[in-house]
Amino acid sequence: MTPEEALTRIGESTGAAVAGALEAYCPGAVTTHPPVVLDSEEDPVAGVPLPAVVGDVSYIDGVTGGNLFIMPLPAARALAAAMGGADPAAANPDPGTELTELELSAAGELANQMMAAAAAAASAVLGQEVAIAAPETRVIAAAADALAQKDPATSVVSVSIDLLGHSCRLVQLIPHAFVVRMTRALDDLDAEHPVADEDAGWHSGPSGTTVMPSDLLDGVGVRVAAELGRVSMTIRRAVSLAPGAVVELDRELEDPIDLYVNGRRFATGRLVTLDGDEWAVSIDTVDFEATPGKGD
Amino acid sequence: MARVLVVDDAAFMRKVVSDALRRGGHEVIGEASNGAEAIARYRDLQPELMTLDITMPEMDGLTALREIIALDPGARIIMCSALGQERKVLEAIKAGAKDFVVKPFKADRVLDAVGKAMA
Repeated sequence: MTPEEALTRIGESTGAAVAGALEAYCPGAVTTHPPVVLDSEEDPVAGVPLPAVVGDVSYIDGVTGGNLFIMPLPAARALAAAMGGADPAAANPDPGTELTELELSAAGELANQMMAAAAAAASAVLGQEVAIAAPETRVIAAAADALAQKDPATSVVSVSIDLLGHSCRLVQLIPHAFVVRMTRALDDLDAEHPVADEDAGWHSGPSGTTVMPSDLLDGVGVRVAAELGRVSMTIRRAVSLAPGAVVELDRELEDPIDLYVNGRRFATGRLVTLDGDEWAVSIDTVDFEATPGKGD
Repeated sequence: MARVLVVDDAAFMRKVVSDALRRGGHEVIGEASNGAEAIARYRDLQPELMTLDITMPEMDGLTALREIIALDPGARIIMCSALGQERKVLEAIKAGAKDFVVKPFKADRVLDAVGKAMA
Protein backbone atom coordinates (compact mmCIF):
# COMPACT_ATOMS: atom_id res chain seq x y z
CA MET A 1 0.00 0.00 0.00
CA THR A 2 1.36 3.43 -0.91
CA PRO A 3 1.37 6.30 1.62
CA GLU A 4 -1.26 8.07 -0.49
CA GLU A 5 -3.52 5.00 -0.33
CA ALA A 6 -3.00 4.81 3.44
CA LEU A 7 -3.88 8.49 3.76
CA THR A 8 -7.05 7.89 1.76
CA ARG A 9 -7.98 4.96 4.01
CA ILE A 10 -7.37 7.08 7.12
CA GLY A 11 -9.56 9.80 5.59
CA GLU A 12 -12.33 7.30 4.81
CA SER A 13 -12.24 5.79 8.25
CA THR A 14 -12.27 9.13 10.04
CA GLY A 15 -14.90 10.52 7.66
CA ALA A 16 -17.17 7.54 8.39
CA ALA A 17 -16.72 7.96 12.16
CA VAL A 18 -17.43 11.68 11.93
CA ALA A 19 -20.51 11.09 9.77
CA GLY A 20 -21.79 8.53 12.27
CA ALA A 21 -21.52 11.06 15.12
CA LEU A 22 -23.28 13.72 13.03
CA GLU A 23 -26.03 11.29 11.98
CA ALA A 24 -26.87 10.70 15.62
CA TYR A 25 -28.05 14.33 15.83
CA CYS A 26 -29.08 14.96 12.21
CA PRO A 27 -30.36 11.67 10.78
CA GLY A 28 -30.57 11.67 7.00
CA ALA A 29 -28.99 15.13 6.70
CA VAL A 30 -25.34 14.12 6.37
CA THR A 31 -23.51 13.36 3.10
CA THR A 32 -19.84 12.43 3.15
CA HIS A 33 -17.66 12.79 0.05
CA PRO A 34 -14.46 10.86 -0.73
CA PRO A 35 -11.29 12.05 1.01
CA VAL A 36 -8.78 14.13 -0.93
CA VAL A 37 -5.05 14.22 -0.15
CA LEU A 38 -4.04 17.84 -0.63
CA ASP A 39 -0.84 19.39 -1.94
CA SER A 40 0.82 21.85 0.41
CA GLU A 41 -0.39 24.75 -1.76
CA GLU A 42 -4.05 23.74 -1.75
CA ASP A 43 -6.58 25.48 0.46
CA PRO A 44 -8.12 22.85 2.77
CA VAL A 45 -11.21 24.96 3.47
CA ALA A 46 -12.01 26.02 -0.10
CA GLY A 47 -15.77 25.96 -0.58
CA VAL A 48 -16.62 26.40 3.12
CA PRO A 49 -18.31 29.77 3.67
CA LEU A 50 -16.41 31.97 6.14
CA PRO A 51 -16.50 32.96 8.93
CA ALA A 52 -16.60 29.41 10.25
CA VAL A 53 -16.11 27.67 13.56
CA VAL A 54 -13.24 25.20 13.91
CA GLY A 55 -13.42 22.30 16.37
CA ASP A 56 -9.81 21.21 16.86
CA VAL A 57 -9.03 17.83 18.46
CA SER A 58 -5.55 16.32 18.65
CA TYR A 59 -4.51 12.73 19.12
CA ILE A 60 -2.26 12.65 22.17
CA ASP A 61 -1.54 9.02 22.89
CA GLY A 62 -0.90 6.10 20.56
CA VAL A 63 -0.43 8.40 17.56
CA THR A 64 -0.13 12.13 17.02
CA GLY A 65 -1.94 14.38 14.60
CA GLY A 66 -4.62 16.98 14.39
CA ASN A 67 -8.23 16.90 13.31
CA LEU A 68 -10.21 19.99 12.43
CA PHE A 69 -13.95 20.03 11.81
CA ILE A 70 -14.91 23.28 10.13
CA MET A 71 -18.51 24.50 9.93
CA PRO A 72 -19.96 27.79 8.69
CA LEU A 73 -21.68 29.64 11.53
CA PRO A 74 -25.26 28.83 10.42
CA ALA A 75 -24.35 25.11 10.36
CA ALA A 76 -22.92 25.33 13.89
CA ARG A 77 -26.08 27.09 15.10
CA ALA A 78 -28.36 24.50 13.47
CA LEU A 79 -26.30 21.67 14.89
CA ALA A 80 -26.35 23.15 18.39
CA ALA A 81 -30.14 23.31 18.09
CA ALA A 82 -30.28 19.65 17.02
CA MET A 83 -27.96 18.62 19.86
CA GLY A 84 -30.24 20.43 22.31
CA GLY A 85 -33.34 18.68 20.98
CA ALA A 86 -34.65 21.70 19.05
CA ASP A 87 -35.52 21.96 15.35
CA PRO A 88 -32.31 22.79 13.40
CA ALA A 89 -34.40 24.29 10.57
CA ALA A 90 -35.57 27.02 12.96
CA ALA A 91 -32.00 28.17 13.74
CA ASN A 92 -30.91 31.62 12.59
CA PRO A 93 -29.43 31.21 9.04
CA ASP A 94 -27.62 34.58 9.05
CA PRO A 95 -23.88 33.95 8.44
CA GLY A 96 -23.08 37.35 9.95
CA THR A 97 -24.54 36.64 13.38
CA GLU A 98 -21.93 35.58 15.94
CA LEU A 99 -22.29 32.30 17.81
CA THR A 100 -23.29 32.38 21.46
CA GLU A 101 -20.93 30.86 24.00
CA LEU A 102 -23.24 27.86 24.30
CA GLU A 103 -23.32 27.31 20.52
CA LEU A 104 -19.52 27.49 20.39
CA SER A 105 -19.37 25.00 23.24
CA ALA A 106 -21.73 22.65 21.37
CA ALA A 107 -19.35 22.75 18.37
CA GLY A 108 -16.46 21.76 20.64
CA GLU A 109 -18.48 18.97 22.23
CA LEU A 110 -19.44 17.64 18.83
CA ALA A 111 -15.77 17.66 17.76
CA ASN A 112 -14.99 15.68 20.91
CA GLN A 113 -17.65 13.07 20.17
CA MET A 114 -16.66 12.79 16.50
CA MET A 115 -12.97 12.39 17.17
CA ALA A 116 -13.47 9.92 20.02
CA ALA A 117 -15.23 7.71 17.47
CA ALA A 118 -12.44 8.31 14.92
CA ALA A 119 -9.78 7.51 17.53
CA ALA A 120 -11.57 4.24 18.28
CA ALA A 121 -11.48 3.37 14.56
CA ALA A 122 -7.74 4.17 14.34
CA SER A 123 -7.18 2.23 17.53
CA ALA A 124 -8.89 -0.85 16.08
CA VAL A 125 -6.60 -0.80 13.02
CA LEU A 126 -3.39 -0.11 14.96
CA GLY A 127 -4.23 -2.54 17.75
CA GLN A 128 -3.30 0.11 20.29
CA GLU A 129 -5.31 2.64 22.22
CA VAL A 130 -5.45 6.09 20.63
CA ALA A 131 -6.45 8.89 22.99
CA ILE A 132 -7.66 12.39 22.19
CA ALA A 133 -7.10 15.74 23.88
CA ALA A 134 -9.92 17.99 24.99
CA PRO A 135 -11.29 19.98 22.02
CA GLU A 136 -10.42 23.58 21.29
CA THR A 137 -12.78 25.79 19.34
CA ARG A 138 -12.19 29.04 17.50
CA VAL A 139 -13.91 31.12 14.86
CA ILE A 140 -11.90 31.83 11.72
CA ALA A 141 -12.51 34.65 9.27
CA ALA A 142 -9.88 33.67 6.68
CA ALA A 143 -8.74 30.33 5.23
CA ALA A 144 -5.15 30.94 6.36
CA ASP A 145 -6.31 30.92 10.00
CA ALA A 146 -7.51 27.33 9.79
CA LEU A 147 -4.06 25.74 9.72
CA ALA A 148 -2.11 28.49 11.44
CA GLN A 149 0.09 26.04 13.36
CA LYS A 150 0.55 23.36 10.73
CA ASP A 151 3.82 21.45 10.83
CA PRO A 152 5.26 21.22 7.28
CA ALA A 153 6.08 17.52 7.86
CA THR A 154 2.40 16.57 8.02
CA SER A 155 0.11 15.45 5.22
CA VAL A 156 -3.30 17.07 4.86
CA VAL A 157 -6.39 15.00 4.05
CA SER A 158 -9.65 16.80 3.45
CA VAL A 159 -13.17 15.30 3.54
CA SER A 160 -16.14 17.40 2.42
CA ILE A 161 -19.27 16.78 4.46
CA ASP A 162 -22.67 18.28 3.66
CA LEU A 163 -24.53 18.82 6.91
CA LEU A 164 -28.11 20.11 7.02
CA GLY A 165 -27.50 21.68 3.60
CA HIS A 166 -24.27 23.41 4.67
CA SER A 167 -20.79 22.68 3.26
CA CYS A 168 -18.53 21.59 6.11
CA ARG A 169 -15.04 20.13 6.09
CA LEU A 170 -13.03 17.59 8.04
CA VAL A 171 -9.32 18.35 7.75
CA GLN A 172 -6.81 15.87 9.10
CA LEU A 173 -3.19 16.77 9.75
CA ILE A 174 -1.36 13.48 9.65
CA PRO A 175 2.32 13.22 10.64
CA HIS A 176 4.60 11.02 8.56
CA ALA A 177 5.07 8.53 11.43
CA PHE A 178 1.31 8.00 11.66
CA VAL A 179 1.15 7.29 7.91
CA VAL A 180 3.96 4.75 8.14
CA ARG A 181 2.33 2.92 11.06
CA MET A 182 -1.09 2.99 9.45
CA THR A 183 0.31 1.72 6.12
CA ARG A 184 1.89 -1.23 7.91
CA ALA A 185 -1.23 -1.96 9.97
CA LEU A 186 -3.53 -1.75 6.94
CA ASP A 187 -1.24 -4.03 4.92
CA ASP A 188 -1.44 -6.56 7.76
CA LEU A 189 -5.21 -6.23 7.92
CA ASP A 190 -5.59 -6.66 4.16
CA ALA A 191 -3.38 -9.75 4.29
CA GLU A 192 -5.60 -11.21 7.03
CA HIS A 193 -8.92 -10.19 5.47
CA PRO A 194 -8.51 -9.87 1.67
CA VAL A 195 -11.44 -8.25 -0.11
CA ALA A 196 -13.16 -10.97 -2.14
CA ASP A 197 -14.09 -10.37 -5.77
CA GLU A 198 -17.80 -10.68 -5.07
CA ASP A 199 -17.57 -7.70 -2.72
CA ALA A 200 -17.17 -5.53 -5.81
CA GLY A 201 -20.92 -5.80 -6.28
CA TRP A 202 -21.52 -3.48 -3.33
CA HIS A 203 -21.74 -0.34 -5.45
CA SER A 204 -24.81 -1.65 -7.26
CA GLY A 205 -26.52 -2.56 -4.00
CA PRO A 206 -28.28 -0.38 -1.46
CA SER A 207 -26.63 2.92 -0.76
CA GLY A 208 -26.68 5.05 2.35
CA THR A 209 -25.88 8.73 2.49
CA THR A 210 -22.22 8.34 1.58
CA VAL A 211 -21.24 9.33 -1.97
CA MET A 212 -18.20 7.46 -3.27
CA PRO A 213 -17.13 6.36 -6.74
CA SER A 214 -17.50 2.62 -7.27
CA ASP A 215 -13.81 2.05 -8.01
CA LEU A 216 -12.97 3.46 -4.57
CA LEU A 217 -15.54 1.21 -2.90
CA ASP A 218 -13.99 -1.81 -4.61
CA GLY A 219 -10.82 -1.33 -2.61
CA VAL A 220 -12.44 -0.92 0.80
CA GLY A 221 -13.01 -3.95 3.00
CA VAL A 222 -15.87 -3.79 5.48
CA ARG A 223 -16.71 -5.83 8.55
CA VAL A 224 -20.01 -7.68 8.22
CA ALA A 225 -21.54 -9.06 11.40
CA ALA A 226 -24.70 -11.06 12.04
CA GLU A 227 -26.50 -10.43 15.31
CA LEU A 228 -28.79 -12.97 16.94
CA GLY A 229 -30.11 -10.70 19.66
CA ARG A 230 -29.29 -8.26 22.39
CA VAL A 231 -29.61 -7.83 26.11
CA SER A 232 -29.03 -4.87 28.39
CA MET A 233 -27.12 -5.28 31.61
CA THR A 234 -24.87 -3.21 33.80
CA ILE A 235 -21.20 -3.34 33.03
CA ARG A 236 -20.75 -4.65 36.57
CA ARG A 237 -22.85 -7.69 35.73
CA ALA A 238 -21.14 -8.10 32.35
CA VAL A 239 -17.66 -8.25 33.82
CA SER A 240 -18.82 -10.69 36.50
CA LEU A 241 -20.32 -13.25 34.09
CA ALA A 242 -18.74 -16.64 34.70
CA PRO A 243 -18.59 -19.84 32.61
CA GLY A 244 -21.93 -21.59 32.85
CA ALA A 245 -23.95 -18.38 33.11
CA VAL A 246 -26.87 -18.14 30.68
CA VAL A 247 -27.66 -14.79 29.09
CA GLU A 248 -31.17 -14.51 27.69
CA LEU A 249 -31.44 -12.54 24.42
CA ASP A 250 -34.34 -10.39 23.22
CA ARG A 251 -35.30 -12.57 20.21
CA GLU A 252 -37.54 -15.59 19.74
CA LEU A 253 -36.26 -18.57 17.76
CA GLU A 254 -38.34 -17.66 14.70
CA ASP A 255 -37.41 -13.95 14.74
CA PRO A 256 -35.16 -12.63 11.92
CA ILE A 257 -31.58 -11.75 12.77
CA ASP A 258 -29.84 -8.49 11.84
CA LEU A 259 -26.83 -7.97 9.59
CA TYR A 260 -24.48 -5.05 10.14
CA VAL A 261 -21.81 -3.44 7.95
CA ASN A 262 -19.23 -1.63 10.07
CA GLY A 263 -21.76 -1.32 12.88
CA ARG A 264 -24.64 -0.12 10.71
CA ARG A 265 -27.66 -2.38 10.24
CA PHE A 266 -28.36 -3.03 6.58
CA ALA A 267 -30.37 -6.24 6.33
CA THR A 268 -32.42 -8.84 8.15
CA GLY A 269 -32.33 -12.53 7.44
CA ARG A 270 -32.64 -16.06 8.70
CA LEU A 271 -29.84 -18.20 10.07
CA VAL A 272 -29.30 -21.30 7.91
CA THR A 273 -26.62 -23.95 7.61
CA LEU A 274 -24.50 -24.72 4.57
CA ASP A 275 -23.65 -28.39 3.99
CA GLY A 276 -24.76 -29.01 7.53
CA ASP A 277 -21.63 -27.61 9.16
CA GLU A 278 -21.31 -23.88 8.37
CA TRP A 279 -23.55 -21.05 9.48
CA ALA A 280 -24.90 -18.69 6.82
CA VAL A 281 -27.57 -16.02 6.59
CA SER A 282 -30.35 -15.98 4.02
CA ILE A 283 -31.26 -12.30 3.43
CA ASP A 284 -34.93 -11.37 3.84
CA THR A 285 -34.86 -7.55 3.66
CA VAL A 286 -32.24 -4.93 2.82
CA ASP A 287 -32.56 -1.46 4.28
CA PHE A 288 -29.64 0.67 5.45
CA GLU A 289 -30.54 2.39 8.70
CA ALA A 290 -29.70 6.10 8.87
CA THR A 291 -27.77 5.92 12.12
CA PRO A 292 -25.46 3.34 13.66
CA GLY A 293 -27.28 0.70 15.67
CA LYS A 294 -27.66 1.25 19.37
CA GLY A 295 -24.76 -0.03 21.36
CA ASP A 296 -22.41 -0.22 18.35
CA MET B 1 -34.09 13.54 44.65
CA ALA B 2 -30.31 13.93 44.69
CA ARG B 3 -27.95 16.89 45.14
CA VAL B 4 -25.73 16.63 42.07
CA LEU B 5 -22.42 18.12 40.91
CA VAL B 6 -22.16 18.22 37.09
CA VAL B 7 -18.67 18.09 35.56
CA ASP B 8 -17.93 18.59 31.86
CA ASP B 9 -15.54 20.90 30.03
CA ALA B 10 -18.28 21.84 27.56
CA ALA B 11 -20.74 24.41 28.93
CA PHE B 12 -23.25 23.04 26.44
CA MET B 13 -23.09 19.53 27.92
CA ARG B 14 -23.28 20.86 31.48
CA LYS B 15 -26.51 22.58 30.48
CA VAL B 16 -27.92 19.45 28.76
CA VAL B 17 -27.13 17.27 31.80
CA SER B 18 -28.31 19.88 34.33
CA ASP B 19 -31.58 20.44 32.45
CA ALA B 20 -32.23 16.70 32.38
CA LEU B 21 -31.50 16.35 36.09
CA ARG B 22 -33.73 19.27 37.04
CA ARG B 23 -36.56 17.90 34.91
CA GLY B 24 -36.17 14.67 36.84
CA GLY B 25 -36.58 16.52 40.16
CA HIS B 26 -32.91 16.57 41.17
CA GLU B 27 -31.00 19.58 42.46
CA VAL B 28 -27.86 20.67 40.60
CA ILE B 29 -25.76 22.20 43.38
CA GLY B 30 -22.73 23.06 41.29
CA GLU B 31 -20.75 22.63 38.08
CA ALA B 32 -17.07 22.16 37.24
CA SER B 33 -15.23 22.26 33.93
CA ASN B 34 -12.17 20.09 34.56
CA GLY B 35 -10.94 17.37 36.89
CA ALA B 36 -9.05 19.62 39.30
CA GLU B 37 -12.05 21.90 39.70
CA ALA B 38 -14.25 18.82 40.19
CA ILE B 39 -12.15 17.63 43.15
CA ALA B 40 -12.22 21.08 44.76
CA ARG B 41 -15.97 21.44 44.30
CA TYR B 42 -16.59 17.89 45.52
CA ARG B 43 -14.76 18.76 48.75
CA ASP B 44 -16.68 22.02 49.18
CA LEU B 45 -20.16 20.92 48.20
CA GLN B 46 -20.15 17.24 49.23
CA PRO B 47 -22.72 16.26 46.60
CA GLU B 48 -24.73 13.05 46.88
CA LEU B 49 -23.85 12.27 43.28
CA MET B 50 -21.56 13.55 40.54
CA THR B 51 -21.67 13.22 36.74
CA LEU B 52 -18.12 13.26 35.36
CA ASP B 53 -16.93 13.71 31.78
CA ILE B 54 -13.84 11.73 30.75
CA THR B 55 -12.00 13.96 28.24
CA MET B 56 -11.27 17.33 29.82
CA PRO B 57 -8.34 19.75 29.84
CA GLU B 58 -5.93 20.16 32.79
CA MET B 59 -7.09 16.99 34.56
CA ASP B 60 -9.18 14.30 32.90
CA GLY B 61 -12.17 12.57 34.45
CA LEU B 62 -10.41 9.28 35.19
CA THR B 63 -7.71 10.99 37.25
CA ALA B 64 -10.32 13.04 39.10
CA LEU B 65 -12.41 9.92 39.73
CA ARG B 66 -9.48 8.11 41.36
CA GLU B 67 -8.68 11.09 43.59
CA ILE B 68 -12.28 11.54 44.69
CA ILE B 69 -12.73 7.83 45.42
CA ALA B 70 -9.55 8.00 47.51
CA LEU B 71 -11.07 10.92 49.44
CA ASP B 72 -14.52 9.39 49.70
CA PRO B 73 -14.76 5.66 48.89
CA GLY B 74 -18.57 5.90 48.98
CA ALA B 75 -18.74 8.61 46.29
CA ARG B 76 -21.50 8.06 43.74
CA ILE B 77 -20.01 8.98 40.38
CA ILE B 78 -21.52 8.46 36.92
CA MET B 79 -19.10 8.78 34.01
CA CYS B 80 -20.09 10.53 30.78
CA SER B 81 -18.16 9.28 27.77
CA ALA B 82 -18.22 9.55 24.00
CA LEU B 83 -18.63 6.48 21.81
CA GLY B 84 -15.30 4.72 21.41
CA GLN B 85 -14.10 5.28 24.97
CA GLU B 86 -15.24 1.89 26.25
CA ARG B 87 -11.80 1.02 27.57
CA LYS B 88 -11.68 4.14 29.71
CA VAL B 89 -15.22 3.45 30.91
CA LEU B 90 -14.15 -0.01 32.04
CA GLU B 91 -11.18 1.51 33.88
CA ALA B 92 -13.58 3.95 35.54
CA ILE B 93 -15.95 1.19 36.68
CA LYS B 94 -12.99 -0.74 38.09
CA ALA B 95 -11.86 2.43 39.88
CA GLY B 96 -15.25 2.82 41.56
CA ALA B 97 -17.61 4.66 39.22
CA LYS B 98 -21.21 3.52 39.75
CA ASP B 99 -22.37 3.72 36.14
CA PHE B 100 -21.76 5.45 32.83
CA VAL B 101 -23.74 7.14 30.07
CA VAL B 102 -22.56 7.40 26.48
CA LYS B 103 -22.99 10.62 24.51
CA PRO B 104 -25.20 11.41 22.75
CA PHE B 105 -27.67 10.33 25.41
CA LYS B 106 -31.33 10.85 26.13
CA ALA B 107 -32.43 12.54 29.37
CA ASP B 108 -34.10 9.31 30.48
CA ARG B 109 -30.79 7.46 30.37
CA VAL B 110 -29.17 10.01 32.70
CA LEU B 111 -32.11 9.88 35.11
CA ASP B 112 -32.12 6.10 35.02
CA ALA B 113 -28.41 6.00 35.93
CA VAL B 114 -28.92 8.53 38.73
CA GLY B 115 -31.90 6.57 40.08
CA LYS B 116 -29.91 3.34 40.18
CA ALA B 117 -26.86 4.96 41.77
CA MET B 118 -29.04 6.49 44.50
CA ALA B 119 -30.96 3.28 45.18
